[in-house]
Amino acid sequence: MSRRRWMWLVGLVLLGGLVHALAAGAMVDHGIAGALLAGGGGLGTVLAAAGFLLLRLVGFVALAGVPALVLWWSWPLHGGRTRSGDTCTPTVSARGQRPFDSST
Amino acid sequence: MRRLRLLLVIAVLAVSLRVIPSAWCGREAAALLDDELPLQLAMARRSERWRDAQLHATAFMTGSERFDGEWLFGTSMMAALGHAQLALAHPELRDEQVRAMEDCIEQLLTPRVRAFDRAAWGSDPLDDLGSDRAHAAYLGYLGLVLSVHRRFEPDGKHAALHERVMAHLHQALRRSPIGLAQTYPGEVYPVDNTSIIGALALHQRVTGADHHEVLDAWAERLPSLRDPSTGLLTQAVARTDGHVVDGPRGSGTALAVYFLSFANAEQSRSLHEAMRSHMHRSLLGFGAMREYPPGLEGRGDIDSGPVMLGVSISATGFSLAGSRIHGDRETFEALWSTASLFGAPVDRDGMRSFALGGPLGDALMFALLTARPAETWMADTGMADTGTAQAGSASS
Repeated sequence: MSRRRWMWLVGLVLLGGLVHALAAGAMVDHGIAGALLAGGGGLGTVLAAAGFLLLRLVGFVALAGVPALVLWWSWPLHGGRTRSGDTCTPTVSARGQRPFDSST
Repeated sequence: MRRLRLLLVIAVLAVSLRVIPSAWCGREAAALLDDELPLQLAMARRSERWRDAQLHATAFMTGSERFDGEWLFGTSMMAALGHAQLALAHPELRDEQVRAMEDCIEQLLTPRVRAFDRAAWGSDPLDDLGSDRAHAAYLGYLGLVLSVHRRFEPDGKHAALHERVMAHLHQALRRSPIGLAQTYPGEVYPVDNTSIIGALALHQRVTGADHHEVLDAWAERLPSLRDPSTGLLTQAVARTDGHVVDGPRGSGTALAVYFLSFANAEQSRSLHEAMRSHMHRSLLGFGAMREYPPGLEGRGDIDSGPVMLGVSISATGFSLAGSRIHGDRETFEALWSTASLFGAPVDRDGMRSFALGGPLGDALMFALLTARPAETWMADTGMADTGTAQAGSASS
């Protein structure tokens, strides 16, 4: 599994947590907390609260998917080892010459 | 190999979905059940902040003036109970929490908090003490708070008012043709009467006053207020003959479990068992309570809150108290996972808020998550459990 993928994964998890924390704080700070429970306060308020709840739910589903994703990326389908006895035999040397031939 | 990988990944995904979200959301369940101080104190501090904000009914956004007023009242009322329960759980904080409770009582007594009840009845509830207007929406719950406070301060500054409210409620029950007080004119809700029963029973224990007549009548009446097939509490009855107006509901039953715990442990437990047997649902480790009995559906109302897939926020949240009170650890853990998921607790500056709760949600969670075992309210007085009749014969 490439290093880049690891970094993306860790970064997304951390970013998701940060976004969630900021959104939750904003809900409390701007008096939107309780809007979904009450059902009033205007469509915008209810939608904001519903959006936060959706973000939370999606976030948890995504978090639950991380182990499966790690497994998917980590499981090699095409192994790095070669067949038994094989050696990597270049047909052309670095200088464009045939490699050493013991028969000549 | 490719297929095996796919199968294994799906299996890991399924296990992760079952374990990770509910485990993460429910990680504080043990701490809450064990009355760990930091969590309880954080909720108390938040309630104090709301109290200091001097909220008005317009802060609640229900779309109804009456319900905005109820929620304003409920915020201080539940916070007061939370402070009392915290004082019992942590006696070293008794003085501080009783003072906080008294601050909540002062809020409850202000005209702006009484306004919702005054608007419904056309007269002020405190001015109507001694009249035949019950004002159960205000006086029932105020009475419970005063009874709880009286347990701490038998000769406190609210003792005289407490006596007047108790006398009023006692007469309201005696005078009613069905033994139940009206919440609003023409509206009778058994769950609101459970707060009256809790108040009177506790008053009797603390002061030695005699409320046996109405408490025994309630115990005899209770079976007829419960659904015969599920044992759940009827939500509303007619004031003249007591016939069912709104059938059994999870939110009302669960809240009654909490209020009856102040009066009669067995009555409270019986209702909790009915909830657990018939209304408890779980999915991927998250528990919830239905609003309507199995086989019935409904849209819910302001009391139930949003109803999704048959389960309601109120029934689920209120049942946190019931499961705490009756030592039902397993149910509490499952319900807390859900409450945490949908309530979104936020911890800042030593306070705990619920991002989807608002002032009322914060106060409710404070009271529900600090609810004491029923035996707490029977202790220290040397008096036995009140009510002589059994909890009810409805099936569970």
